[in-house]
Amino acid sequence: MKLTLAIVCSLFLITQFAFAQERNWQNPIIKGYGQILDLEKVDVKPDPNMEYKILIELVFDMDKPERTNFSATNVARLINLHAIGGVKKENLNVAVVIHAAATNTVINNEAYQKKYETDNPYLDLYKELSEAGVELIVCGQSLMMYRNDAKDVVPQVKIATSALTAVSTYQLKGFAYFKWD
Amino acid sequence: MIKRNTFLLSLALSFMANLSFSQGRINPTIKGYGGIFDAPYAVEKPDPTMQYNIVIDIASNDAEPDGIAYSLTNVARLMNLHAMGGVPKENMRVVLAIHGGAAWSVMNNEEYKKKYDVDSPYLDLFKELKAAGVKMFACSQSLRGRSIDHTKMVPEVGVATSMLSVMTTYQLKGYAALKF
Repeated sequence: MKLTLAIVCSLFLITQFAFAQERNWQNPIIKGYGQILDLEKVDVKPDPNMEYKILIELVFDMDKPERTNFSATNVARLINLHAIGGVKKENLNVAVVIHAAATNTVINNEAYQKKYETDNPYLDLYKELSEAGVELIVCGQSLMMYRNDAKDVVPQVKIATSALTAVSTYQLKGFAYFKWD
Repeated sequence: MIKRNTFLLSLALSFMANLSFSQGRINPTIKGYGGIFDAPYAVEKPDPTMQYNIVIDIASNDAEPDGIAYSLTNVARLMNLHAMGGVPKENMRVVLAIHGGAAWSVMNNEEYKKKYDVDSPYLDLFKELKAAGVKMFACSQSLRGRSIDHTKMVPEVGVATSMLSVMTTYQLKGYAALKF
């Protein structure tokens, strides 16, 4: 009985070890967010000769204001994934349109504290994305609806006429379109 | 007496709040629906030199029978927002694929009344959207599925083979695709 337990335990440890070794987490462009797996065998890769123009509409809920929503950090994953797939940084042209409840993520820490009594966890993410060349855009209509002051918007984020006009404009300029809630 | 004063005060306050709220909204294209906020501080604006070809999948219907589904009000907002952002009316080419629960909205008033015992709240909205050049189609599959008579629809809405074929066809023609 003791022996069986020992065997099971050691087998479990061995598989865990092998598993951990196999998983090679990487952050090629966005260092602080969106780690992804570097895989040895991949058949379908992005085209390194293409320009990747990508538009992401973020409309997630603010049910956990103390930490970043997956959809927001998924922008970092998207960028890291294209990089690990061979797309050069200069060929990545990503625009993010933030609206509805997600609008409240673009305000500075003081304004965020007033709303949620916690620090704004999105500030570092938006800084890193902006430094990597991502265009961050917030809906001007949502800013009003969610009673935010335009002057509280962090400097990395531009104010748009609306999310609808930004989404139509970027799509018509040839951006591939995602909507994440 | 105190109760009555409080009541009057709250009435006056809510009136004032409503007034200032509606005063903040503008309707440059669709006058009766989809009021929006002016955003003079916006730096990211639509491009007034571009042609705005947009196809919209209209599926959701969150309203009571006497109210208008937000998905259709949002079309009025889209028209007003592009106009406010500087896009000329003639550059807007908008196509709707109305289906699913939103399909009930395309019944003419007689049919709507038969089903819901109230006048259709959509008649003026469809008229205004049509006058602004919006092309509207109902999915024939959704109509059949709900036994909506295609000969008893509002005159502004046509019938499409299906929502799916409208969405594929117009996207492949270069239309931006939205889902409301």
